[in-house]
Amino acid sequence: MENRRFMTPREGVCLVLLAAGLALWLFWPGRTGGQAVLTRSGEELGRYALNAPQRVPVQGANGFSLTLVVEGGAAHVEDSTCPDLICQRHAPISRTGEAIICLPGQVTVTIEGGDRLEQDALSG
Amino acid sequence: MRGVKRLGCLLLCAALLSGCGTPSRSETIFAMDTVMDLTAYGPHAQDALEAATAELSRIEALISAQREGSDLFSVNAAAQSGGEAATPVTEETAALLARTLALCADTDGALDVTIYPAVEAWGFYSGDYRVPAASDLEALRAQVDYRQVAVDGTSVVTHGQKLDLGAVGKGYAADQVTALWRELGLTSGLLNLGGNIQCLGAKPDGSDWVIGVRDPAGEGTLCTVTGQDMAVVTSGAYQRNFTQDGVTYHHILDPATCAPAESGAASVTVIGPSGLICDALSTALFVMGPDRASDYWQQRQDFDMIYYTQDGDLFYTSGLEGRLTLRDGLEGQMLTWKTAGS
Repeated sequence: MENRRFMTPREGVCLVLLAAGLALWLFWPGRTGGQAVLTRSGEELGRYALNAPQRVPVQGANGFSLTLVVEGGAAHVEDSTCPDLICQRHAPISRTGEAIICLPGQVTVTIEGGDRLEQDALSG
Repeated sequence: MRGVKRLGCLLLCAALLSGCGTPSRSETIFAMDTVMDLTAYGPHAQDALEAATAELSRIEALISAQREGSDLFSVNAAAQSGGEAATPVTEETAALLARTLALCADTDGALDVTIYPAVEAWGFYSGDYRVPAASDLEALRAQVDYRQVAVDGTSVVTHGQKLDLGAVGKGYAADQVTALWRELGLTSGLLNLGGNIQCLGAKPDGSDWVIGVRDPAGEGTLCTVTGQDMAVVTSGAYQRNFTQDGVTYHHILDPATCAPAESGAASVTVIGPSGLICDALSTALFVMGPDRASDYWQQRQDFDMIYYTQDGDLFYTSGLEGRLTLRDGLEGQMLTWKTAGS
């Protein structure tokens, strides 16, 4: 009767290398490239790769409109017709967890698949 | 050949294990005039999200001053007469108002639940911003006085005052949702109700949550604070404001002047177990200014705060020692408890 060990050293090395490769593939920051996720009133309108420059006109709620601009690996808002323009003054975002919110127009721009922020949430 | 099969089995196990994290569900909704991000962890995450969404909607319908049919809308409609009015409300609203009135008294009116007409006059409800005339501000000051409001059983007695629970509503809602999640058996969850953060338990891996505090001067982070089972609520002049004739006016009104508070505060973050208290105190401490806020903390000592002034000074309370990380280049001063006679 053949009496072999459960795993030979060579098999062990192969397994470790494959597991390491799998872990790198799963957890490498921004492995798929970041994308801006656009929503209005909680409904997703589209996803835009941060590495593909473009301008996206957005019709928000309550008659307000804005333009989502993707350039230089980041997303920001221009041409907003909302009264406070907080969304337009927001700096460009590029990391997972960052968001630009136009409250009057109920429009959100969030980042997914990019490098992660160090914190779980932002107060303020 | 058998070795290859064994290796295949092991790889399959590794692949399956790599997908075995704690299940989570997230949802973004618009409610209470803000955007809310809800994240629940665990096998009941989806049920928890649905329960949270329904609870937030219920609370908004109950206490929104702008929502026709709400308890507060009824109280404010009755107050139009200007005379004494007793309006029946639900037990829940009566209890919330009683707690809020107690906080108004405790902060010596820095928080005032009767600020409604001033917020309305500045256009912060409608978005039709304007600067009221000096005579209008004087008239408003006569209308703002929480001491003229009382809760008698399930009746709210007013003498012409209109109420706004905006300074405590999101904090109260966060408390209610986390209580609901605990009943559902959740041990880990995160709420971001328009910048009001409430953490349930620890992160799924058992580690502390890491919550950033927005830099009032930009879009970066002033600092981060770690902890579990905590609320982190920030009030800042940058959150809602408008500019007229070169002057920027923010939404945190001082009940004593009915104008934007000029206390020297840029932002105030309050950390503690109760969302309602953190919400109320972040507004009140902003209005008080750094010196009064420091004295108030010495009196209560049951919360922590991060106070950032318009001059760029930052101080924080001793309960945050070891939990606070300031951004590079920023220095903070720690407040410690003064013992009697010191």
